[in-house]
Amino acid sequence: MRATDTRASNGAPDALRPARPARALRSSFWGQVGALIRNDIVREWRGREVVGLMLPFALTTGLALNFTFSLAIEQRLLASVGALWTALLFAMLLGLGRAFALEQENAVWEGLTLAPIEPGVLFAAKLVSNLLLLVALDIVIVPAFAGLYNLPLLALGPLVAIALGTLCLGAAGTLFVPMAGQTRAREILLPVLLLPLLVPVIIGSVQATVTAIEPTVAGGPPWTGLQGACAALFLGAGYLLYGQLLGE
Amino acid sequence: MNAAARQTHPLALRAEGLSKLYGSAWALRNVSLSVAAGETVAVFGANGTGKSTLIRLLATLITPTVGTLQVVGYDTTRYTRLVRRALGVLAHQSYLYQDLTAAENLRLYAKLYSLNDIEKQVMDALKMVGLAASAEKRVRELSRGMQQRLALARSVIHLPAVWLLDEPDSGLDANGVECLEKLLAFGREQGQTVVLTTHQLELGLALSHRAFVLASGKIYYSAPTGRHSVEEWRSIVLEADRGAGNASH
Amino acid sequence: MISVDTSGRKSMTKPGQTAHVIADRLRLALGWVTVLTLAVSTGMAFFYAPTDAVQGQAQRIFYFHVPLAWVAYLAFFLVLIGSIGYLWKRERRWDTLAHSSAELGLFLTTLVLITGSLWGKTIWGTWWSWDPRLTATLVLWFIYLGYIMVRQFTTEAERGRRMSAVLGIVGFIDVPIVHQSVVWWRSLHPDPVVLNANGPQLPGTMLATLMVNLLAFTLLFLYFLLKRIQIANLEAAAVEQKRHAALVEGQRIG
Repeated sequence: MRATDTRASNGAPDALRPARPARALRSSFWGQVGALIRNDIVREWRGREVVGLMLPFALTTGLALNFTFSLAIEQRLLASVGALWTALLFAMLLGLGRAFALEQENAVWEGLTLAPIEPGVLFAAKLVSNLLLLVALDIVIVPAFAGLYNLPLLALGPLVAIALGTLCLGAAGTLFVPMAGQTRAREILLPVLLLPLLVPVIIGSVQATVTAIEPTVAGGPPWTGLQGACAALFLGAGYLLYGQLLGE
Repeated sequence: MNAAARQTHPLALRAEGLSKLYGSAWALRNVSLSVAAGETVAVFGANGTGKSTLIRLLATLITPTVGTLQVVGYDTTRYTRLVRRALGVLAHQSYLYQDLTAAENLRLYAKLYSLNDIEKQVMDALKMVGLAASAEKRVRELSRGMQQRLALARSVIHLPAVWLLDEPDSGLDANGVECLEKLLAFGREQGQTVVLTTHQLELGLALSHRAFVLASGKIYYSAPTGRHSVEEWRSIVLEADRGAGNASH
Repeated sequence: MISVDTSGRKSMTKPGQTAHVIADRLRLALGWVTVLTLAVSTGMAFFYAPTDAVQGQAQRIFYFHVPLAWVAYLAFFLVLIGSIGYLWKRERRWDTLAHSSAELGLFLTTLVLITGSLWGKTIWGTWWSWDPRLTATLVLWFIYLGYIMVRQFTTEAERGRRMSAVLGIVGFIDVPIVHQSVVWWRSLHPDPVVLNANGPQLPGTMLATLMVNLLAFTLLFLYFLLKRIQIANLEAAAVEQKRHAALVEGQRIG
């Protein structure tokens, strides 16, 4: 804001300024991503409005689902893992939806889209912020389900399956939550848009978790590969298409 | 550099036949205007006459149903991101995170606009709007008027070529209005272009070179501010409102 | 909407009018060719093709079910093309292609699900089974339902076009993954009979009937698509007229 500082703040459009070297652009990419993530963490730490909502929701879902099927049934393992992923999936829809609603308070999202940043910057930042929220969810919910449903989840295999599934949910959520959030029916539209697209993620994550706990003799289909393909799709599409959500 | 920029793009804003259709209602109809670099322009009009729609169109937040718009010589639909760099937008909503402090909010935007010497710029901006003492207060804890001051500082922290201020005086006390006047005077010194809307005719006229009066989405009247007295302007605005009311019956 | 445009079209310039007349005639000709082909293909399905030894008369729905599924996939491919085109060029016509195809694709997928269900009731004894292809088709139906809904619930028409285009691209890439995932998940559906590694496994008469039906339904789809695009253009023309009226009024007052 200084009158003398003409370098960063003169009135000419960017095209009229000398082009900055590529390295400066690189560092500003990560600087901006870092600034956005840091602010998201600070906000969540002060308000705990997303994690504080997702955790009780996922836990009570786990409690309620327990009464929808009998633990004596033959496919107890599959049912319990299914309950885990149901709780994670719906907590994700609710939590990321809430996180975006907070971005729309005072229309901050609009302010962010007006800033001259690469869409990739915003996608990377929001992806990391959302993943941090989901990891916080996992850290509580996975041990809780391991106890409540007597599941051996705290081993390398199941944790890798859960981590990959979380990555898929986070990437898909980062792309589609702002899409649904900018419509008139955001709470309803988000699951309608996202759940069909997430069918392979649901199948892959449930089966990968089950297979990691109880490996089949034949090996079975490549569930981890399926999770990887979904992650690649949503990460790639998010990075390339995020700008379309920002009105450019 | 500023002088050079003005020579290259003598017109900061150039809108031709801007019209915006919402559902089956025209929020803005066939608005053409040119604003020279360094000029300050006020837009008057009763509620619902299209002032905010005009600002949102100029800000590239919405796209015109028809018509073309150039900001510092660049077409807004083709060079959206480039144009956005040259704009500073104050909308009805503050664009501020409730759970961040005043300084944190400005620091974030300063970073997003790739400013140098961020700490100093943030403090300067806070001082300019009289919020230096509240730098570490969260937005949630600030009063309505203080939030408006902070929003004002946020919108122009990168000293953009074109300032688009939608009711910058709303919620401001006497001190706040003084800050606004100082800020605009500073901008004028720097050769910035300003488009502002307001319901306070005296203030708008004092701050601007030229004024437009909107009525039901159209430009009803425009003239240099000095051509009429405040009272004359007031009767023009009232007449525009009445005329529009009659036309719709 | 249509009546609004008819008057508008009359006021157009001569060359534009000629182009419209030619386009109308072509559409009409395509319509009649489609009707004839459909008559022949339907006749073949019921009278020319032999009754299936195992499945009996119920197998004849196959001559409608398979072509419907094929044109539905064609429709969603066109959604992909239109979506990429729109995001790239930002021209209205690409979006018109995409959303016209999406609407038709959703309708055709509904028919695929109904015909599949009818067949399933007679052969499997159940209206619905979570067999891979049925499941994948249902998921497909929901994805494109989302496509239509995003447009309807967006206040800014231009933003709706961009967002649905993103969905049109991601949805299309997701479909093979959905399909593969449900195949791995479970399988009950009869194996593909036309695209088989050992060459087509159908008797010649059945294959010929299927091929003629494929042609007929493709023509029908193209006819519907052209009609839908025409309607979209008429709607755009109606907005254009409104704009013109506003401009005239604006000039009068301003």
